[in-house]
Amino acid sequence: MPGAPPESPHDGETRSWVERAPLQLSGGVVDFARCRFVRHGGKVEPLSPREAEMLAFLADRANRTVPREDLLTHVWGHSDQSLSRAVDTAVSRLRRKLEADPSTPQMLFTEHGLGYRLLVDAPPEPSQAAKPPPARRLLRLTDRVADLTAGYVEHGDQRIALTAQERLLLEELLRVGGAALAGQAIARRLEMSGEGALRNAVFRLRAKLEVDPGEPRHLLSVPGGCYRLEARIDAPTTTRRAYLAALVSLTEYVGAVLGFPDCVVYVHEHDRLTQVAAFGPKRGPDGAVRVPLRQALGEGLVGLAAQQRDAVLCPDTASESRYLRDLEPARSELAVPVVADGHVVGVLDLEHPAPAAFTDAHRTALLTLTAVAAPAFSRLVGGSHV
Amino acid sequence: MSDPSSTRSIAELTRRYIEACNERRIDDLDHYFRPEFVSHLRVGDVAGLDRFKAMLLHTYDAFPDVWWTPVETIEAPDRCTIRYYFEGTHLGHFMGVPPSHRRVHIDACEVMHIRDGWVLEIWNYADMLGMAAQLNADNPLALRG
Amino acid sequence: MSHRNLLAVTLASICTLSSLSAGAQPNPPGFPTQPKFSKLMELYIDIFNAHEFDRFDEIFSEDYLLVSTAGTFQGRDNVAALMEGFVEAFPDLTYTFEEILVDGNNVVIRYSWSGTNTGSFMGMPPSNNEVSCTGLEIDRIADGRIVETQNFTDMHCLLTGITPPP
Repeated sequence: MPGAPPESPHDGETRSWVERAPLQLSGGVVDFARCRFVRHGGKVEPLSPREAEMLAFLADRANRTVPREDLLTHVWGHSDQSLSRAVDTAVSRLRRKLEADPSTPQMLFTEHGLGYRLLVDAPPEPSQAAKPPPARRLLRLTDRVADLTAGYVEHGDQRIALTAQERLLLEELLRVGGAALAGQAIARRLEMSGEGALRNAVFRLRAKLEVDPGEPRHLLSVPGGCYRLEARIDAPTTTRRAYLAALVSLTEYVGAVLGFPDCVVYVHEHDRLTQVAAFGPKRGPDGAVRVPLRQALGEGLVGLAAQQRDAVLCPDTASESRYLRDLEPARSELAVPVVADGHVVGVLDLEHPAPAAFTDAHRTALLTLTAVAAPAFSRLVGGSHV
Repeated sequence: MSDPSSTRSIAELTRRYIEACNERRIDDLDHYFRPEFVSHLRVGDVAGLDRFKAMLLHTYDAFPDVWWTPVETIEAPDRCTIRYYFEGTHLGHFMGVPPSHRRVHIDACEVMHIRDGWVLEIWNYADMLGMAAQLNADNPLALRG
Repeated sequence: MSHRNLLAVTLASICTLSSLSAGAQPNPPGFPTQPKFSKLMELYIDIFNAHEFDRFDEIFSEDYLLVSTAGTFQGRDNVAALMEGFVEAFPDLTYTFEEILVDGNNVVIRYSWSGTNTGSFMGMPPSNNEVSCTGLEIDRIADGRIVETQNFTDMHCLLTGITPPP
């Protein structure tokens, strides 16, 4: 349908501004997630959701002149030319926020008769566009749905934008899973001027979320100046493939960030320990394992770590009879079990060509790391996943 | 791009470090960090500026809109302590946790060892348990296991 | 000024400068590298290691606030109760201050603690593990007392420590 807004921010050319990385401009940086422009040196200019959308649209066409009609269609959702003055006014207002001297712009230019151009020194990396859009995080309300990923409320065929602050307020309340939060604490977290400002924000947000803002069913006031959110969120379903990708990412962190040259992740399934991801000599394409080994619980140092539910540190495999030789010989090994809900769900195994390469400090640190990853492991092993 | 000088104040160095991270200008860190510097995290040591940049890239992939906000800075002759938080939407894999799409807020503190305008070492005390809880919020785990 | 006095002054200033730019070596453990607040810091570690939490009035203000990754505690009595519970779980609880940094009325302490979990912690049976963890805190001082602490304790280390081995 000509002139209609795109079905969803992901279907159109513009990604939802909520997911965007901060955008560097010559005078400062656009922090999309919090809907503001931070000048070099620190002064902060809040942006309206529309201003953020405009910047996102222009940034996707960085350094090119964008016709006014395109902005009208994609950001305002209209093709009615009588509204074109609205675009001009909005750009002027935005320019006053961005530019040190609006009369001599350095970032947002008007090409008379042609349109507008946003000058971006380093256009966004094209690799970001190749990723599939993230699943929508939807908050189910009585007669409408709040899309927290995209930043709007869908009510029938109406779409009401949420401000960044409103989205952050909902996330704060969601984080505590329905419990009450003190208004003072929320106001501080959201950098509001005080509880009065929060009250006003809640009032405005109720108008967007509730069937009857006077009798709220979701965004509730609790005696003592507290608030809570009564609403269900559809959590994203993570596929088995995504969990495996997460483990590949874990091996990359262990290898490229923590600097361990050879690490393998095992998953414990059906009494066997199977290699599923690797960094270093055992890494195959896409981070899977080149020649995956499977071993029984108790077999080798990895099996021992799983059986004991405690890390095993071997300073010299030459004198360790239990050592199971893999593709490449290694002189020292550290096997760290991954424990979830009292069960061993996997093992993180590191090897090194030199003896005594691993210390107790490594052991402790990696136990902390595997504790972060453990719940995801457990889903991979036995949880409800596709 | 000016060379770092020993007359650059610790406060300015700290501000530029945070700005470079927020604005994704990680190569600017070459001007503030010695190549051999080490950052001690609770999950291990990040040894060398290259690995530190790899860590930042991992963070940007996991939280495309990540933003670090300093809360207070405490200076001593060759140390700077920054209490800060980082926030972002968990849209990519982070430390083995697949994207939850939640917005996370993590409190942290780090002590930087600075000499002659260069950062030599960092000790980081981020709230790992709080972070694990937020990242895994849709998939909670009994803490005691 | 005589030749000897000039030499003495020069040596003294060199010593001061070298202690400021002490290079990559960590500060020596224990205490305090700054003269300011040294008495308060000595009292702090002595009281904590002697487990004499009824002496909190000597180091904390009446409305002392502790904000930590383990929770928020307002008032000396609540913090004393917290520490009593901690000592019940770890009767040999010992703190070490690794480094102290001072800036105005703010003190940063990098510390570690250790103990054996031979007692019950929050209703959980003892693990008998020897536990050793690190932490950092920022203390705000006013009128010779600590008014507020922002503490970054290693909760994962603690929770792992109180988990009995399988």
